[in-house]
Amino acid sequence: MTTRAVRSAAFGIAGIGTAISAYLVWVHYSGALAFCVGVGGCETVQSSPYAEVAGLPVALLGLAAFAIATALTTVRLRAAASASTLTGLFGLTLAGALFALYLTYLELFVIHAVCPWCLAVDSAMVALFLLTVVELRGAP
Amino acid sequence: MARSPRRPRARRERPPAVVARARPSALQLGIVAAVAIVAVGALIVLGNAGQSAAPPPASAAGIHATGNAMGGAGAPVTMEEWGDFQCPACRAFALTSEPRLRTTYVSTGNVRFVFHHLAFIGQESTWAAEAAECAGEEGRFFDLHDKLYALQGAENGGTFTKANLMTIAHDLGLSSGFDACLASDRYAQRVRDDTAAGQQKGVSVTPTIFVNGRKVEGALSFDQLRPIIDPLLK
Repeated sequence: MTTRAVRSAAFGIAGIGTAISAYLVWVHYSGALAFCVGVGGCETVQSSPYAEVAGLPVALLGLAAFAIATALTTVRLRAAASASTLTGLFGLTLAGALFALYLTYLELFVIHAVCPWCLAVDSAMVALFLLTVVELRGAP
Repeated sequence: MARSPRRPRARRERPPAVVARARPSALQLGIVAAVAIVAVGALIVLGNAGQSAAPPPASAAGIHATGNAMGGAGAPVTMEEWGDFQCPACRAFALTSEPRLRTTYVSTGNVRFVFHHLAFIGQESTWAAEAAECAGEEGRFFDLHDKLYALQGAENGGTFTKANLMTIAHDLGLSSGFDACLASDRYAQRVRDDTAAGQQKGVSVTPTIFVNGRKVEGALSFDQLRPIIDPLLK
């Protein structure tokens, strides 16, 4: 996989993550899921006490992280991107991936409900981290 | 237009000394990784600090209830809820909106509140609904209703097994007749009928509340319900 392909993939995943996070933030604030439709999952997760950290919706944290990742991966589409953007992306996606794994653990073992949209953004964050590691290993 | 001959522009090469480093150093990465790990740890600790025990159950005490209905039959407004004891949104409604509805409207004789089952999340929804009906035999439908919402756990995760429901009922002081009632599935058909009636009325999500026939979906707050109820009292 060429560096360009890795960077393009990271940019694409960051964009998708931003879009899904934005949807989850909208869901959180619109109260669109303030009812149950019987299929479980997202309404349980989003209405669980774990959906907020210190009053901030987890979805909003996700949106902020993906928005920054999108900005950094956009800069890195340029061939001569600096090392600092890669360092920033590494720190951001490492934190994001660790938190995503923790949230997935909560869904599986504490809340006992899996929200597919949440899983999608969690996977996107882990994928972004892996792509960053690939680039770090392969960077000239 | 004639183009003047131009000297081909040489691609400017930066001297190696000023080329931005493409690869962060191991030290930089180590520091960033440490900061990231500490930040996530802090987030997790902060998140857990915000967890508290289940909120206290809303009290149904002091308001006359007959079976699944609370408040006088002559009240000008009837609110009929279709809910499921395993539904988190119904829980939010029961624990945050209902207490104020009871003290403001039901205890003053303005609203009659009726709870119907839409037991659609699983087997434990049905058992919990049957349990509430059994408690209703002793005039304690809403006491158990409140307790079940306060104790709500993971969907079909064992919170509302029959054995647990009996323990919960004993804690509330319900009689041994409750156990016999629940064990016999006396109200299984009633729960099915309630669910079917809700579906016939077009209820597809819970909670759905009919305020004098007007359909309202979702866990509305007390302040959102007020403008729906008040005009009906004039």
